[in-house]
Amino acid sequence: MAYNRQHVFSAIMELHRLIQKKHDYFDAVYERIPAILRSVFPIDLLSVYEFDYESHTLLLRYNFGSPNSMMEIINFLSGKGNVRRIATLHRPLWYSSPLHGVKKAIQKKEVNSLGGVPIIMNGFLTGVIICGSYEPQVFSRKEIVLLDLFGGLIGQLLIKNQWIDSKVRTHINL
Amino acid sequence: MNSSVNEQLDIRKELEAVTDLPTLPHVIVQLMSYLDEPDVEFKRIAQIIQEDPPLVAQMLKIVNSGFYGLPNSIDDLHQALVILGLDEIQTIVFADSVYSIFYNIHENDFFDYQLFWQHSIGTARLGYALASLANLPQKRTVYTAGLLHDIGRLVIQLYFPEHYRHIFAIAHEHQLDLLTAEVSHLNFTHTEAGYWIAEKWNLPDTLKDVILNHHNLDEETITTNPINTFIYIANEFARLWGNTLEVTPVTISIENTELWHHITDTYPSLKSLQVKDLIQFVDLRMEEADAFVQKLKQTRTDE
Repeated sequence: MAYNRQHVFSAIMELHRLIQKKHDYFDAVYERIPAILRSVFPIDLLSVYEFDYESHTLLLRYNFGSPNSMMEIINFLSGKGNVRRIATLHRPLWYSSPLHGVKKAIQKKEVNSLGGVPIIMNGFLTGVIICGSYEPQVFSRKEIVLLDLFGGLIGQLLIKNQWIDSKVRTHINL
Repeated sequence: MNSSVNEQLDIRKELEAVTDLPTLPHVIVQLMSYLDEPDVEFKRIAQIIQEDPPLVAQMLKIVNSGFYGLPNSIDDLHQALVILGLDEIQTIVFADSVYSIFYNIHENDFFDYQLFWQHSIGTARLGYALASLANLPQKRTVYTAGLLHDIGRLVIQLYFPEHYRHIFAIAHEHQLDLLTAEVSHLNFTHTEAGYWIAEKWNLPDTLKDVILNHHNLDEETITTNPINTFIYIANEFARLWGNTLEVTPVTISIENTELWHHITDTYPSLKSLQVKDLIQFVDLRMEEADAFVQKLKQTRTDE
């Protein structure tokens, strides 16, 4: 099992609390996301994208970890590659390299497991979450179902952030 | 997961037995051989294209679309061709002709026709740009090869849509790339299907070779087969960029492989592209390809 079962419930609760808690400034809602997800999955890279319906592009809202290779930069900073395909297909994508060569893979700090889910709110694409791990065999269908559940909660945080943003803008305009 | 050997053989036989094979329009054959020549003139291209009136109309329609923002409408083909430029002319001719050949293919939940063209055009543009950077004399052939390299997917989709649906399902279920899923289900791949139609169409050997081998590249063939080398690289980058029909993630960065070192040793000018430059370089071509497909789609919607 690649996810930490013991921490699933507390992670859901903490995300739920973040939705309820008062935040005053834009982006503050994202600060705890990597720690929450890392308590469940052994991830080294994480990006949260928000879909902008005006420009029809995925905007990077939060990034954790340092993407190095072209594949990592494209997926974790540019919103292209697998992120774009998740958004287009409205479907999760996942990959885990086989267990052999684990040590070498971890030492080399290359992504050996990748999982991403679309964030769908009220039937519309709201964003994409993508996670990468240097460890192999992190994501299978089971983990993706769980990531999808977290995606729903993070989607509510994205909506909350949009709401904070519009409130701040209104305040400035007044 | 594997289909029976008998079924696999039958699929190959069925393809061989196809009698209503679409023919390649004469204009494409002529244009393909002319664009391979060292000095290309728009006047001669106009003469070739004029033999196909619907294609002329399509060219004029595209050049007069809002995309180019021209103040006056253009009704002269030669003028339209100069505005469009060689890349766009070639893309429109191929996309339009191949589109009409495979008109029976309808959009469905697994085969995204638009994405297919984004991939083909992206591969063509990127292959051409990389070949230009490497001063490869056959860069225009690279462009043509890019447009046609995945033609076998259309063949399978046209003649065996149910099998292709199954291939996509296998790929998704077992987390396989499409090529492996094709082998697993059909023991026959889109590269072979493409080679089959390329033979029937009497395409030049260089193009047939790329269609058959664009997923295979080794140290030796980097030097002996430069066109396939550039299509291989461009195809990999296009896949990495998300311009692909694959249903599983693409996670391999070619720039991290031994093969890339051999490629850059053979074509040293490619070494000038560091990762960040390479990303911009690829991004620009993929954006162009996406925009161009949108433009083609728009002109077709207007029809």
